[in-house]
Amino acid sequence: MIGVGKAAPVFAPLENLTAPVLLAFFKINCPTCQLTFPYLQRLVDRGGPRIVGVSQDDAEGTAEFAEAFGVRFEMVLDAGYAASRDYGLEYVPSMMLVEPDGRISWQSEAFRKVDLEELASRWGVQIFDFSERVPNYKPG
Amino acid sequence: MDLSLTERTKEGIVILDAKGQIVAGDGADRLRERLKALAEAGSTNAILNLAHVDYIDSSGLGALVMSFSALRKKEGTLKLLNLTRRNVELLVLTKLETVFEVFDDEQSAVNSFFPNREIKRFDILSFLQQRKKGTVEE
Repeated sequence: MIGVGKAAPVFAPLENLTAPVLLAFFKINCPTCQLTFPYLQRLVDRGGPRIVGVSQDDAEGTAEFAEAFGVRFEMVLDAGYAASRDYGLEYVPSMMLVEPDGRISWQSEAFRKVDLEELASRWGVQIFDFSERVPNYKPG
Repeated sequence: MDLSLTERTKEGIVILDAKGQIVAGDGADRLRERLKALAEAGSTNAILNLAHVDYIDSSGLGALVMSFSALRKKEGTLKLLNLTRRNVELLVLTKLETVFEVFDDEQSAVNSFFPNREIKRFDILSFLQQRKKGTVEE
């Protein structure tokens, strides 16, 4: 991935930013993405950042994924992998927080509970509930 | 090896006989799209016969989970039939044996969709214990 502190390559979701946005790259058949995205939706629901899912699949499959896993945040398509290549992706899910100045301030790949907790804490949000059995790590 | 899917019905329940591998790309997508088409046609309860599926990769598992979730949203479900030893172990390793109902007897899988019918579920724990003792065939 491109690296914290670096300038995020600009594409549609990053135009005219006035607040941080979390880019979350994924594939619909990726089990780790299927685990991660409902928690990202919860982060939005509990007052976290704007999130844009960047799908490496087509519109139909992406809509199916969103419906199956209850994801309602914005989705854009990267079926040709242009943005994925620009961001130097190696795995999905890969997530990066882009600040209004265009720099990446946080990033994570695969499912890392501690990373997501740290991200959520920036908004004063608890992303995992105490009663949940959440894996600490799941590879992408 | 490509994935082929043959559809038949038994007592109104759709059974998909899969043959080949459910892997990233064509196989996983084909399975997901077929189950989606079935659901759109009103068949939200389905059995996937995996007797002749020798390999499922992570994308294949993802396709299974996504199809299962999509069918559940439509108040249906997807049940698995005749898993190979390797696929049973894969299900246990990924903890998906707690998600899917698994059968090794077709009539029991069909019966499970009807109330008050006798059901013989596949006992994964017993299978694994027998496997450990070496009493299950490869």
